[in-house]
Amino acid sequence: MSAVRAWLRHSLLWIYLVLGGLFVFVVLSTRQELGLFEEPLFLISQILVFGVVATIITAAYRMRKLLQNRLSLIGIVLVLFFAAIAIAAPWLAPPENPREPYRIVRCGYTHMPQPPRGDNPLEQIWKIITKQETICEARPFGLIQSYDIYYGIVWGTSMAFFVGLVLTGLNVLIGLVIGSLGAYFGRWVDEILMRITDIFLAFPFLVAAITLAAVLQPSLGRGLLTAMVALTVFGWMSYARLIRGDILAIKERDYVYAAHAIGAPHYRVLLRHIIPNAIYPTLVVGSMDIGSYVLNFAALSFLGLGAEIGFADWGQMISFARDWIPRLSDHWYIVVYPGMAILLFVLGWNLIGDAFRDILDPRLKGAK
Amino acid sequence: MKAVWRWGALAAALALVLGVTSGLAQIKNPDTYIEAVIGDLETLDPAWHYDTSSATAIFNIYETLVFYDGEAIDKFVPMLAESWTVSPDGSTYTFKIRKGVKFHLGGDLTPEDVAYSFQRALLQDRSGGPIHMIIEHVLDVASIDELAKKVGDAQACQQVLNAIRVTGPDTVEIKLASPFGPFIQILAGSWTSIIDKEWAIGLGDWDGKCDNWRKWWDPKAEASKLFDKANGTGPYKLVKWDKGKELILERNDNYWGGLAKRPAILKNYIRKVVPEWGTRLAIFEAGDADSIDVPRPFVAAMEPLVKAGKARMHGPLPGNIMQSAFINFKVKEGSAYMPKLGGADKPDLLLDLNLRRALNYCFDTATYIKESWLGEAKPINGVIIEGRLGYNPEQKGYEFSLAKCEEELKAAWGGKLWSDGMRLILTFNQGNIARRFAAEMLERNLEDMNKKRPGRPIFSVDVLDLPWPTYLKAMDAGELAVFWVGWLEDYAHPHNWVHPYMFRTGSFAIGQNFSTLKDVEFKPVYATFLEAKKYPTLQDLFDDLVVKAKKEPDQRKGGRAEKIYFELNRLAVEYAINIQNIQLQVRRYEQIWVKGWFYNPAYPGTYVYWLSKG
Amino acid sequence: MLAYIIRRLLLLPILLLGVTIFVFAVFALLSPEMRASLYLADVPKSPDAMDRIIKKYGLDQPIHIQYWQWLNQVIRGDLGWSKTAQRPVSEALLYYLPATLELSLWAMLPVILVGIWLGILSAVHQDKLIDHTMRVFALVGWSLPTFVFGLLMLMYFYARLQWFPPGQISDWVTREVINGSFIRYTQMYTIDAILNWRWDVFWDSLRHLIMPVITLSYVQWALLLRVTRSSMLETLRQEYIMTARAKGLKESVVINKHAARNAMIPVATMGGLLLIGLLNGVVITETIFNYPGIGRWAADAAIRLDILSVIGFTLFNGVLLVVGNLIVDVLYAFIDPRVRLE
Repeated sequence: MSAVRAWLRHSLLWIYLVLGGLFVFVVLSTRQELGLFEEPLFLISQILVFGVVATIITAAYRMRKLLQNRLSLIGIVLVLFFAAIAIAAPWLAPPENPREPYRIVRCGYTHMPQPPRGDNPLEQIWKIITKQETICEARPFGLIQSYDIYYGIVWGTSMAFFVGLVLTGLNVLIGLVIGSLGAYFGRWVDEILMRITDIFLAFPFLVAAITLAAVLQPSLGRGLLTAMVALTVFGWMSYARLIRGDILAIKERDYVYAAHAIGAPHYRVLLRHIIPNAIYPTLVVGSMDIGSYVLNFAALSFLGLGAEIGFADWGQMISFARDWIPRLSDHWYIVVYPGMAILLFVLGWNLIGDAFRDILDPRLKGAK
Repeated sequence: MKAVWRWGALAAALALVLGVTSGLAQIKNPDTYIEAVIGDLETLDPAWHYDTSSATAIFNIYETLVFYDGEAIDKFVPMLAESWTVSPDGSTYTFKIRKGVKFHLGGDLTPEDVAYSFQRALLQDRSGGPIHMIIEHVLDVASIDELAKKVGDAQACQQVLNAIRVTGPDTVEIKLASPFGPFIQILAGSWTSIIDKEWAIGLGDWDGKCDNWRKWWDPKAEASKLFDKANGTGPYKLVKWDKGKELILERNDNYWGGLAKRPAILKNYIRKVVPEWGTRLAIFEAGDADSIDVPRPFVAAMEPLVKAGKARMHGPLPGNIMQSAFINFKVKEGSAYMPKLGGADKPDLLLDLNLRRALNYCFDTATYIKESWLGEAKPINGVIIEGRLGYNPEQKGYEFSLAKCEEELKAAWGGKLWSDGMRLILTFNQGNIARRFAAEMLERNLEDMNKKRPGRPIFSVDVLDLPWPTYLKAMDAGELAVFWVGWLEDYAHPHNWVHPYMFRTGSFAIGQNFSTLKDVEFKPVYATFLEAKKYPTLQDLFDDLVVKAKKEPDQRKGGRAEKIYFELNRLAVEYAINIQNIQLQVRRYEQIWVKGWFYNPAYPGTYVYWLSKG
Repeated sequence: MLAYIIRRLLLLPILLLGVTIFVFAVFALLSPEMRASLYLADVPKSPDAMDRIIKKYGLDQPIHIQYWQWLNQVIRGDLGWSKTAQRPVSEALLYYLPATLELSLWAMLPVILVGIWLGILSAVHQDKLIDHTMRVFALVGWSLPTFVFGLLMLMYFYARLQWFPPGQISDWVTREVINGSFIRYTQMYTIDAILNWRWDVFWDSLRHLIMPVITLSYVQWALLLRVTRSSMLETLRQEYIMTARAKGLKESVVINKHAARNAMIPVATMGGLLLIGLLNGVVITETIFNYPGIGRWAADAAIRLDILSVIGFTLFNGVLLVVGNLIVDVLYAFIDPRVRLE
């Protein structure tokens, strides 16, 4: 038994090494032409994607159930597939202007959708990868508003990881701070923080985000920042409540009393003893919300409050398609490709989350 | 294809079960004209409204003294005025008011109603409203408030009552502060609609006296007593304005006869607000709307319907909107959109004529119109659109030429621009796709020049779309260097073009700063009756010519006014005050069963009186 | 329990005050010129227009003074004017609410019925094909952007088949309302149709409701299905279920009579979440289907920076959530005696 475990650990190590090597390769080989350090967005999202891959592989090793369950297996395959696209973006769709890889390649000046070229999109993509044709020549998925859909989807994958993970991270972090402070100090601190939480809960999430995005747009401009701020300000409340409940339960444990007794300062008790023991459920719930953040971001984009025009973002590509949907039989490609991308991406996360929850739900322990 | 078949079969089966009937090919709602439009009206108060949606409703309900003669925009027929005369000096208009006209709620039309309507409009003068057009000519001030501050409230009101008064049992006289040839044009606009004096006073609106008119001055939309009520003399009367949803009008069966000496043909007129384009199209395809608003980019979606004979298309027709990029000769200090020359802030970067000309040469108008406007726009050299007095088809502009663009760039700022590089921000309002294309085309062509000047600091050109509030604020503060705007004319006369584009107090003057350009030589080419002269600034030159053209009594084609307008067009091109102006063309789509529609560019929307179905 | 209810209700004004202060603070980020643009649809055509508008609406005053004025107004019962709805805010709420309520109530129906039914089905057949299918079906709904789904429906069932039109009601009904032959008691067409005993109107209203209801509810099924399923799985392992089975009761009786009832307790608490979900969902659904409800109004107002409308909507929403959650809490205490409210 221990031999198997050692072997597992060993092979995990192997995988980490391979991933690390790949990461270094990607960074080094794209450093020059992508201006990684002038436009850090790509670098950050690469780090995030590699983190996701490593986490998923680790989780799958630890919980074999994730692989045995067909649904979560599909979910894992989907997310890894998108991760591969995000990692390989510079080769799958070479940017036109390397300083701005997230700006979708534009081929012309018309808003009319342009159909894909060639019969087989894969063949066209191959031509791009092998540099036989430029993106504007190959157009594997067609054009909308003169923007290349294929390019938008490839780089939008990287963006979707960024948006989903960063939004989740920020919201969990804020929830963590507010929830743990309230629960730990109790009394009036708790009262004030929880009333603030109540105030934010009084806004329905999407309407509140729309309002804030609309108000911020004139000062921050239309873009990633505005939409992400809007989705963060109103997103943290459920995590705050969750972590607060968990800490309240843990606060009374013996080892916390012991820490107090030996005179550990507040921050140390909180950071060392309480949060590490209480954070797990919140992290799990957070990871299950990644998909819904991507959807909410897309909804903002759909209403014209998301990423700036021409920025590789799936939600925006669908919002381009919005006005052509009545003629979809002619222009199916403008909604099918980005629509599929967002559906499969979110579905992948939700499948994993669903299985995760099944496995972790304490009430279901003992069920087969 | 197969999947579609299967779905179709399933659909057919379900349709049988549900008993749903398809309404194809039969006329839906034969006695009602239904329009599906983007936005709702703002108000039903004629003096308050300044948007085409409200104007469409109002000109179907209310009537003006004169109206456009058929498709003409510069010929007028009597409407509520039986006839009118203009004094020889061109400053006094006398109208003989039609007898036997009744308002929808029963009142008789009298000269008092006419005078009251004008006086009320002038005294209301809401901020950002349409009345400044009339006040400018009748009182020679920008607003009634300005006059009141000069001469006092009571005196200002008295001046209004003196300028517009009942002079006989059936005559009303309007006196202008100075003659203005196209004044009758303004009187055909829906903002001078005639309302019933007794009815308005009964609702609590201005009482016709001078002691406390300020009570009704500059109201908020909803504070106007006529905000959601209407009582006109027109072919349709108000049934219900369900705000945000629809406007329902019904035929006025006691109509005095109007232009065709008959009541309207269709019994009802419904104007539905459907902001989502896809939904609007779906409503049209189902036959539930007789016509819909079709935004420019989506005309292609209508093509199959027209080809299949399911819809009729009028157009492309010359519109009354021009899209222009304005150039700021001196950007306000501290602007976030500050141009740079060689790395240093340069507020007056665009003061250089070579650079302004380069921007024009680098803009590929033909490709832009072909791709972004699907071929349906007309390049205008100058500031006056085709179809108006003063449009000069002979006027030459800047042909697209990267070589000439390069040449001008090399000459700009005595060669400093070429050697040291520049930074320029091109701005437009968010969501406007066509303007984005224009800006990006210019960006690409200018940045491509960097390839011809390797090793030098680059030309950095940025395209920036600003949310409407930010855009408006920056424009109003003169902070934008190059900005795209469309101008929709208020009335069909060149004065309404040269004034906003070139005049000192015009809408865009604050974002242009023509007075930065000093010592301007003027040598007339067309208007040879004018003397060659040196002006202290470019703005003074423009102002002088705009005023001269406006006061010129000879407003005929080939007359002196036209020559001065030619001159203004020429100057606009030679000084490159804009980047390629483009007159937009319009289309109208309607159901095949709609009859009687014709195009008059001065109509704000559909005049249902002409229409029938069948 | 009474004390609990009173405490919660006393918190309501504090909450609402906090909400309004927050909204005003957010709008303080905008300069007067930016806020004036709500009243300028076009480039200002006269030179002094912008300044006059700012003065007229008092936009240049410090935000705390504006807030104070607004608060005074509210105390006198005036929520201000909604520029977006072209009517007073309080009237706008009353005007748009019935439509959204009608839509939400109809959407609750399939959400609850189908969600619970599928959840039970899924739990009973755990890890069988049907369980997988149901879960995938629900998860796809949860992963699908509302706007894509809604527009696809519109394109097929209206544009092509002409079965279900967008909007709220057909024109002929509107005309009957205007001439008085159809009376709107509740402002909800389906209910009014029954009260008027007019099945043609009922059918017409239903036809307008079907597409938005499906769009709205498809997204929400997943939530309920998940809760029902896990609650049901837990209940099925309880001893009394084993006992019931051991007694030889039929499986259907065990599930329907014994298990399902007890499994419903946690599901009942989902009411609040469901309401939030629906209120969020209506924004985009109403926009797509041109349905004149409160969500479309709120989104419009937000995009146009119409502060008074946004506040009005948020206040309404805050009250709704607090009272709604309170009712759920109290109900829960009644259903499940183990719960004590402090």
